[in-house]
Amino acid sequence: MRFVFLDNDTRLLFATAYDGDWDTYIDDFATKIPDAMDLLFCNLDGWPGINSPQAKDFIAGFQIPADTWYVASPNLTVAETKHLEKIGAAVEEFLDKIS
Amino acid sequence: MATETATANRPKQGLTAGEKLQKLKELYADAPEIGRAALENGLPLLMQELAAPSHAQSAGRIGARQGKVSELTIFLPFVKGGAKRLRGFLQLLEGNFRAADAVGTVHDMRFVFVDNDTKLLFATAYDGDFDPYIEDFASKIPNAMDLWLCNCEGYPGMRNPSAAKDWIAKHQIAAEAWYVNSPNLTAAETRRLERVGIAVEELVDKIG
Repeated sequence: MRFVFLDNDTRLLFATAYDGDWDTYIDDFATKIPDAMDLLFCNLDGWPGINSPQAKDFIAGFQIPADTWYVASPNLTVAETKHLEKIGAAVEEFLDKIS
Repeated sequence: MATETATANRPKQGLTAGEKLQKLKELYADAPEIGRAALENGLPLLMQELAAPSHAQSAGRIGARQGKVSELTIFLPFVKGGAKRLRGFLQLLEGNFRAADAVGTVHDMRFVFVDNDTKLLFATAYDGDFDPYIEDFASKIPNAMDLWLCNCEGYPGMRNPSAAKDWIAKHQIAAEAWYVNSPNLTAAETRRLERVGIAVEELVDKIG
């Protein structure tokens, strides 16, 4: 995710790549890190708070969907990538041991 | 530019977690109630973040980097008819980006049409530093680059990589903050790990 300050510090561009669907993704933030979300977004005009029923409408209201979106490894979730990093390290260790 | 102001206001490196928290409390003294409550309630998690070593790095000429992965965020004004052309071109690609696969250093990229189709927001995550990244595009896929960037004002063409790099850097706005979940993996390493994962599954199957 990136935070970019625009137009003489009057607007924030926030862009992120995430796993799965929109609603689940936002729900996850609300459940897991509500305080971190509010610390960031309380600085924006009209932010209702992550626990507000209006939070999703607020975000969706400002979102501009990409016309085109490319991902190098589209079949990997964040968790799967992290898991593969562990497998990669284990395989190297294994190969070292049998060499 | 926004980035210059931001750099001047950036806190000095080497502050302790306690000093950072003090600064944060000062910053948030006049924040909306939601923010002040979040600062109190989120303190335990926040202290872990503030105590962690800095992960903010630079992508060279411009842009932020975390580990091996850098960001490029750029707003490009369209030439007359440019938005219509680019949108049509992107639609015909139907999500196929062999060119980006061929370059191999791109993690992701998005094309967003903003300000009533007068500007393109292009944002990408890539491997390594700004200069070699753009040079890579210039040498591997100059035609693909020219096909989309010719729709933007003042584009000098990828056959002049030095001018193209200056043009991109001029329109780029460096991210103030940048997060990557697996910062030590290049796009190529991730692809290799996908194959390792499959091979390991096969191996485990065979010894069942």
